[in-house]
Amino acid sequence: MTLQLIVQMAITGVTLGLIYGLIAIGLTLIFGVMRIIQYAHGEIYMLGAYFLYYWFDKWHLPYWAGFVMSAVVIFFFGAGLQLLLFRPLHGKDMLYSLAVSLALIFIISSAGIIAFGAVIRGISSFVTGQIRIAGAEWTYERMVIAGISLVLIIALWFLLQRTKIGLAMRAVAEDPETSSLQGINNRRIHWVAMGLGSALSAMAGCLMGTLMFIVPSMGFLATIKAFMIVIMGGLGSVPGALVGGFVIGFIDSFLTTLATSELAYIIGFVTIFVILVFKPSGLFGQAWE
Amino acid sequence: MRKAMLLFAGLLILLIGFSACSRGTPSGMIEDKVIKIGGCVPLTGAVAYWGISTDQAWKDGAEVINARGGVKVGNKNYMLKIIAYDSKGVTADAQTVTKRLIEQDKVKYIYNQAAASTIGMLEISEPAKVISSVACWGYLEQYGKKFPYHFRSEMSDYEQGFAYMPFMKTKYPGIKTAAFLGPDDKDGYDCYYSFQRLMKYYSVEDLGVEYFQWETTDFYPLVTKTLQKKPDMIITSPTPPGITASIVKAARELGFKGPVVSPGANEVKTILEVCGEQADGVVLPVTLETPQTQSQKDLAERFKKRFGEFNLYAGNLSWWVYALAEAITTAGTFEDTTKVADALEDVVLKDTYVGTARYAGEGAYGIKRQGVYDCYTMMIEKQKGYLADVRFPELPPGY
Amino acid sequence: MNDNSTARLRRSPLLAVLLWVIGVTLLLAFPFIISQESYILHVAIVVFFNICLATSMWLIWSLGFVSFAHAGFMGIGAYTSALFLLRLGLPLWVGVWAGALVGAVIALVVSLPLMRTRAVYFFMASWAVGEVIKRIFAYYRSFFGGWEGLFKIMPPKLGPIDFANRTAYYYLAMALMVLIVLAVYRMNKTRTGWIFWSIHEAEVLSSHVGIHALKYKVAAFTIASTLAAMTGALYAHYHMYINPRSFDIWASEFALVHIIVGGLSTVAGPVLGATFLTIVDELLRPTEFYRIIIFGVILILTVLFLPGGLESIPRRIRARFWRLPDDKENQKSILKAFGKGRK
Repeated sequence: MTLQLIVQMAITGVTLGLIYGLIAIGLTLIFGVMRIIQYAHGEIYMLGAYFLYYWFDKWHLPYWAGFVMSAVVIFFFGAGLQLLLFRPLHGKDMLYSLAVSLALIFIISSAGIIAFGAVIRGISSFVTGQIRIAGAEWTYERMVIAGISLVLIIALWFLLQRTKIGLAMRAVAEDPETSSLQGINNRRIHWVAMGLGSALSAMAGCLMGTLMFIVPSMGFLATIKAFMIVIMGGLGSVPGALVGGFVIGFIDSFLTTLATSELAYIIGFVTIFVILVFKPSGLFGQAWE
Repeated sequence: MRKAMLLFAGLLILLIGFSACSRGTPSGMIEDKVIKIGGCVPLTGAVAYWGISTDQAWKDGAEVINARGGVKVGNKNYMLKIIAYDSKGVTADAQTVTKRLIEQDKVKYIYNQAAASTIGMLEISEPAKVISSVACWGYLEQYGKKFPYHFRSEMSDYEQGFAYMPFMKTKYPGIKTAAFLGPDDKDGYDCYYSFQRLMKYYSVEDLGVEYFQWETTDFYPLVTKTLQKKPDMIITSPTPPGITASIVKAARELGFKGPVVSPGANEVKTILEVCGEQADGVVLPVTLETPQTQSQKDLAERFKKRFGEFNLYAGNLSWWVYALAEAITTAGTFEDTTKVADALEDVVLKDTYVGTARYAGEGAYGIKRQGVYDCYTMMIEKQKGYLADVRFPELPPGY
Repeated sequence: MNDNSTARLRRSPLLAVLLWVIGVTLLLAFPFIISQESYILHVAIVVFFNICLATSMWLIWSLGFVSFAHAGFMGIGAYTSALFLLRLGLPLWVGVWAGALVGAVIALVVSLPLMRTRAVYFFMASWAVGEVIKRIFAYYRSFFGGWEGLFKIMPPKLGPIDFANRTAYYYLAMALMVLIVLAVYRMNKTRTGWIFWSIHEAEVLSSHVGIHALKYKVAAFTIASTLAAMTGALYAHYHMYINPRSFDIWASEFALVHIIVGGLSTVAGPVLGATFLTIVDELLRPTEFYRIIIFGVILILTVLFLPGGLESIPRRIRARFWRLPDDKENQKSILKAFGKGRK
């Protein structure tokens, strides 16, 4: 067990933690504000990745412009989904939103195979090169991606804590009736939150698509990770999503390297279960009746 | 009580309606000039790329054969009809699909892809004497003399090894150790077994195996562990091109400079797209991006036109349907599958997308049911793929 | 329930009994009606298994939560029964009860901590349980067979009847289905059932009335998971091969979809939903990818436009075609009776 190995595992854990955290905060926002289950969060992530792929690799437009455009386009897509499909379910049991988002998974991923083909693709890297810390490798690409994730997470936290619209979102999340009595337009907050959450997911998709590869079925893997983290961290809590991301990221990194990947998965789920037993609303979460 | 009755009535009406509709299907229709071939392939799921490519290969081949008059049986010509269903890569669904193909659609020939789908099919197709032509690298114990109708037409990584290892030995003579990465399922376990045998045969030290879950989102942890062993060469199988590319990328970024061989990836452009300049040193057996002969070029063009893009993997499997057609003609029947199987094992095709193709394996498996063919090995160097080696696998004596 | 129609049926119990008899006869005679066409029998058996899973999941739903560990318990029953046969040589008749017992014990143990969580947290926690169960089957290769799975899980014999014959298995699966549907139906109709619904609607309130919610939740979860385990045992001996992937989250999700499309108010819902969707799935198989898209579309349309599910269709047809009395008061009360079911 050399220092180099420990440092490598730690760096990997941090990077993964931040990326997973980015995938998760979009979901926690949607959960917290609207109390719906957006099972198709991963499909949005996939769409964001494919958008960037076409923008950058096929049409050869600038990478970062594409990154932003992907977020914008998916923002409206998410908002549209909310207005069209989720709004009629407002106030009803969460089972219905689960059903609708499950149906979305079916539709979007199959449409993805038909539209994009089954060939696995990759978004080309925007930067190459790496540095070495205590013998462990850290590529610029991973550094930038981890950095962007951190920035976005902090930005979201800032938005929620310090801006008016963030305050409105938190108000709606905590008590929808009172906030509408206070004059907040709940409906608008809903589609904005959904759009924002989807945009974050799309950005996560762009980054992961660059880091790894893209294939129409990639969505569900992201969904699993996002749910694991959000529930462990607590719904509606951004710090919770970050902490959850790190927990899962470190488990993935350390256990896979030191033991086996199987064990890492089992321990991951057992950890979540144990946390929920002791803290039924997640680490930082709001109670949900 | 009323609700219960309603539900029974509903249930029965539906069941009866369904059975009524499906009795009307082709079993009664005119079909005397048609040979039906069934497809039980994963069109969705983790291995959709392989499944879809398999499907494309058969459909294209069937159309080509039909266009030139069909399959000659005796002195009549029969058209090929492909009936394909999605097995989702799940064994239970593969069972259902196989039952439907054999019992409902009455096919006698099925093509399949990937271990999960194949074993679901095998338990039903073998007793029914239905010939299966598959790509399946795992479950070696469900193969051989006891399964005379089961043809593993795709060369597994074991046979491929006898083509790429000689090449590797000449290109990288200093290689003494190798590590293996495979998926955590039967395919992975059996491919590791193949790897062990190959490394022993070619005197390369086996440094061990790491299994990854299909749901893995990042390969750094696993590759870090592999590189601790300091291998000269990494072999990963059977991994779809995206995962291979991620493994390569992780390996290069973590400092590995040696070659990575990936039987089963079969796609150059994915690796280039994902890895960029780190793709150098990737060896892809049975992959042909630059068609050499005229028929290969024609095939590539045809696929592009028919399906919108050409999956290289589909090219590898394109010869199966022609082999079957020839076997049927030689046997003089398509209904007696025992005769067709006997004919099929002796078919030799030249000038396919994989060069010369035939079946072998009498020594190793007791019966000639393993497809073997020319191995076009491509390498990536300076961010371009090029054809590095062509050879027929140097199979060990007694194979 | 509408006064008119109930009254009509009460007036002619003969009609009710007649419908009942015809229904049961058709179900029993089904294999012979279709002259034992194998493939359709196979679909019917799959329908029965799906009905079992959906109905047992509905039992849990009637208390107000959704268990994504359901498929995991099916797996526990399947593996127990399979191992009893492969390692101990004991047939399904022993295996199904062994599976039920093991399933019940594990469900009981797991449900106590599980019930501390609520709503969507419960959903994730139960998902975690299901995943861990599945991965334990995969992890212990020598005992459970790992990802490779277990082969040759032969169906049993009973005297001269060999259940490897598909027609025989049809009746076996049908027997289980009837057992489960009747059991759940009865539970729902009794006082226990009313308690379940009251916990569903207003848990806090019901505890104020003296209902010990935890006890009932644990009981319902355990019973439902046991039923799923029994289904798993029969599933294993029918398909004769199982591997951990057969029991992943998708199996639980499909059971859920069956309930939602079928309807959530009564036991007719899961039965109709499972039947309808399994048949639709089979009919759509030739359409390749479009099948999944169509599935998704059906699901969305049902949720948005047919919230009561398939079982609410008769009610809606009646609402449309019967004349309502002239005065507003009666109209309103009748519409209320129609419009609201239990969600």
